[in-house]
Amino acid sequence: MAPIQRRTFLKAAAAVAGLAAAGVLVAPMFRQGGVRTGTSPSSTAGKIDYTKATGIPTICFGCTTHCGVVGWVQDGIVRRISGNPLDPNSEGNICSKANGMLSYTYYPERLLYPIKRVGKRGEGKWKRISWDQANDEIGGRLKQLREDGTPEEFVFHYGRDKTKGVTKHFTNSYGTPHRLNRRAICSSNRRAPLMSFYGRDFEWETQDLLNTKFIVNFGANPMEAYQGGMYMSHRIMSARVDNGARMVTFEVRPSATASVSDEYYPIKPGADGAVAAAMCHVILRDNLYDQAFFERWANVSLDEIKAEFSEFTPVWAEEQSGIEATVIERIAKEFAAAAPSATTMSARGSAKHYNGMQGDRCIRLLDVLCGTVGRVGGFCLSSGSGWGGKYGQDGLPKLGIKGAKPSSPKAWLPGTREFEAMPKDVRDRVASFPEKWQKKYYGELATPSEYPLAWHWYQMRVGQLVYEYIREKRQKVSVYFSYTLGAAFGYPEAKAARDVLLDEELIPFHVAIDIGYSEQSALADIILPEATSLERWDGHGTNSYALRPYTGVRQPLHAPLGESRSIQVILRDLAHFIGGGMEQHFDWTDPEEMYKQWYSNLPIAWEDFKARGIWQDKERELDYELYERPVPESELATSRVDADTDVIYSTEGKQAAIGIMMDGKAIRGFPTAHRKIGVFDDVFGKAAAMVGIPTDEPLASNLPTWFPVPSFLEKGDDELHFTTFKWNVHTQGRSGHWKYAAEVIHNNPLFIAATTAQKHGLEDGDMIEVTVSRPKGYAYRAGESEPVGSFKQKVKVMQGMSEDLVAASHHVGHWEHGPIGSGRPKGTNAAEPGFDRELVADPDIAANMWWAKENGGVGHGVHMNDAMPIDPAALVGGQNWYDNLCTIRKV
Amino acid sequence: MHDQEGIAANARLFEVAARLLVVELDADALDALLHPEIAQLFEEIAPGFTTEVKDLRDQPESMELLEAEFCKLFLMSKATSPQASVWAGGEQLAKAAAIAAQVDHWQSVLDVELVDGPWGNVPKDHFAVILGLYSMALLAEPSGKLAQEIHDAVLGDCLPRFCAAVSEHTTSQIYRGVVGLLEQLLEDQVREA
Repeated sequence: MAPIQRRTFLKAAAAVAGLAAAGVLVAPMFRQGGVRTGTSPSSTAGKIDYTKATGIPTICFGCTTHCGVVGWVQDGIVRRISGNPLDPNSEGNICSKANGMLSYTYYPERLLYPIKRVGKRGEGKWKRISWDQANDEIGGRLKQLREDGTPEEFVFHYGRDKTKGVTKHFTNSYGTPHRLNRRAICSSNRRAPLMSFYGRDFEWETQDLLNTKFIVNFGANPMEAYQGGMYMSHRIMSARVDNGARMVTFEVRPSATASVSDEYYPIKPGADGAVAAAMCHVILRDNLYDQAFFERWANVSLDEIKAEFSEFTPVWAEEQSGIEATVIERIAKEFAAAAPSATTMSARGSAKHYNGMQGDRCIRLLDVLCGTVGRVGGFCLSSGSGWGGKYGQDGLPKLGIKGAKPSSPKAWLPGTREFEAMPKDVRDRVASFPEKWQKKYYGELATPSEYPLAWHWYQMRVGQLVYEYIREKRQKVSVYFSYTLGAAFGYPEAKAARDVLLDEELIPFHVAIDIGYSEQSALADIILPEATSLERWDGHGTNSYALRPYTGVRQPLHAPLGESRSIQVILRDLAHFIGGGMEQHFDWTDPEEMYKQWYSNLPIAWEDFKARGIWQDKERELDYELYERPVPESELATSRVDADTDVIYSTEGKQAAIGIMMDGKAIRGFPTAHRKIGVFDDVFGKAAAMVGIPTDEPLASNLPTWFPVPSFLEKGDDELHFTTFKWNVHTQGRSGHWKYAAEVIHNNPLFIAATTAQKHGLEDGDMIEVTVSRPKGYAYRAGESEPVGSFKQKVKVMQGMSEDLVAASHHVGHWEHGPIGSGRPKGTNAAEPGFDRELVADPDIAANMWWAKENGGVGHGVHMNDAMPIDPAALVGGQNWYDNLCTIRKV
Repeated sequence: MHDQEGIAANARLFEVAARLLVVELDADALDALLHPEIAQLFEEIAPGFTTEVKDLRDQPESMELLEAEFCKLFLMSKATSPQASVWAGGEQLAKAAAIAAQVDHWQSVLDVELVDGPWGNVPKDHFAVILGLYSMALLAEPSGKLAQEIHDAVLGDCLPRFCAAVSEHTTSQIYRGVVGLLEQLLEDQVREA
């Protein structure tokens, strides 16, 4: 283009000047009297300058562990995350995911303004709107629904909510029971056995790892990815190096945790419980148990347990698990010998199977048999979050949102409008439930009737069925919020989620609240940009592996970028817009004001708490043997003792059980109904009967037991197990676009044992097609012959893998989340739907994303979740992620 | 060397371009762009500019498509991000921090701060902010020293790459005109310096 004539510039500028008075085309950008930083620009280039940077404590959000961290802020930007040594859990340690917060806070594709779709849903065209317009449109619809008397048609579905109750305030005050979570995707199969054994307040164990002498690990992976992993990993290493503790790991692949174990055994998938059951057998057979502890605290007799486990011999377990009987014998004896300073550890590897709930009960039984529960170096139970007066929280300052709590929605009893609006088959099923269960029922999304243990202890729900249930019209949805949710990418059969999200009849209005443009938010009508964890307030509380409760606060290190807002502010403004009483539960201007009130009972000034980020009463007694603690006289004064059970009940309030009489003393016991450990629990049989599963099915057993996964019994010679796992630098599907995390791990090859590869004629690097089939037994869409789906990926031969298995991570393979997430630094694949693919990324990414296929690399991985069946475990609903069987074909 | 009138003209036009990188066009802005002298300038830079503006003015329902184009280019894509740090090469976060510090420094020298509104909540390394300061520096400092510093530090290297990317990928002659104007103005400044 030829240079423009100077005269043309002058004339245009003169015209602009004429218009300027009206504020058109130009408007004041600056005002006089600006900043006086005195900053020398050159001083901030390159490395962080600690003489200028300010360290502010906060809480990490890089994964579910939530370590105390310090953000180093220089020139208004967080430049580095380091550990907060005051955090008693992490003790100043952090992992690479902490610095992932920088990636997701500052990446240029981050959403900073509310946007509204233009054109069809999912087309990828958006326009910016103001917050006022967003609140008008969203609040208007919500207000109308509420005024129409159908608040249950509002569904709030979240992936990770760490507001400690603010979202619940919103949904409760609105009047919908539909505050849906992803518990079933993650951990309900392992939480249920814990709550059955130890009560509602202990859905997560807290091993005394620092003092333990022996750890038997069934498929937990705290060295890489585990809720509490960072809290555990450095304690495990200290115990091993400083105390000579030993760790044995059963796992299907050589995980990082397996790699630091003294012994690692590649186990057949789904057989962890068989090994645990055989260990119980050995301990019972050889009288290696802690008789005094078991007889004092278990709610069954040793004879009953011996009878139940008599057939679970090590030889039998060898057949089931592939682990030699002699090894099982030895480990059982070593575990018992180390007790009480010994502990089990388990997680998804054992629990995310058809038999996982019962298998984990067998694992839990090991600790009860050997009396490690609550003991030094044993399987401890430290009080968790909330500090609202739960078990084990005696003497702790109460924390929480001030003011009257909104009442919860009422149960959907037969005869109520909500109940009668449901399909007949659902109504018939629920109407047959015992009254006690009917009183806990809130419709199929919150309390799915086919999975009663998903809502027995509390509403864990069955998130992977939400979209199917909406498609089946079990619940009418008018307004759907997805908050930090990645179902469209990360749920099993994620395509089913995408299909429903695309259907404007099923979901007429979808609002996504997120920090980025994800596969989920791409299918929204409005996206509200959320402040990141470096920009907002949250309460923090979790179980303490130091066995002394503590609390912490997430605080903003700087103001939210752009026009992003914290979830608390977003919901506050909507509550005020909707009105009708909702606003009184959001009676604060600044979130800091709310959290200051929240923590007002702490014996530390607010500013001091912020400066430390953590508070803990260091004089408090450690959480050993909480069950032996006396019931305080103040509580005994208003109590009664049940003559038959010796359980002590309060005579005030809900008249809850508060302890048990033992040897003439009033002690706490466990927070179960009987105040003992629920080794026997008839809830399993009752729940099975409610949904038509014969009570003689082993999955309905009231005593811990083990049985094979039905699909595996019919596994063909040509079939392989297909399992997934998490890498240490990633967190579910949320980190594929984190620049440095992606540089470390960007691909997900299918790991396979050398012998298995040889059997199938495969070599390292061969491309195979994996086709996954439906599960069998009491399973969703059980036995359907049509495969769930297929994908292609290369194999990577690895020593130490379990046989007949392929394993891959499921974090990567995004098609949204910008050039790094989608692996397209140069922007190819224009034909795909979604955001404009024709754009070419910036030179840094285009040139330096060496792993991208366009740059000759291996690529950014393959999305596999579409091929994973929706497979909720019978009764409890936790996703059986690791029960997949597949066939493979070299391509 | 430009006379004062020429410098003022360039400064004014830099301001216009800066604003169009931050705020979507509305009906008033479309009318303003059809001012004959302004339209002539943009038409020379991006033929078809005037037709597109006229079409949008006559069919207000089409404005949504232009808003979507703005959103795609400047709010959601790294490929055409108006953040200078994206185009500076090297580690983007460190560059963003460094440029933010430089912006603070230039504001301090000019004794100004960003006003609230659309300007106030963009990243400090947004080209619009830097162009605004550059424009002020052109007018405020007869020596041109500060303007040269801003040019050398950020604009001279980063802005042309950003403009080229937008020009290549936008479907709108309006935004092709905006970045084309910036390229022309920048070249003019370099030529006259």
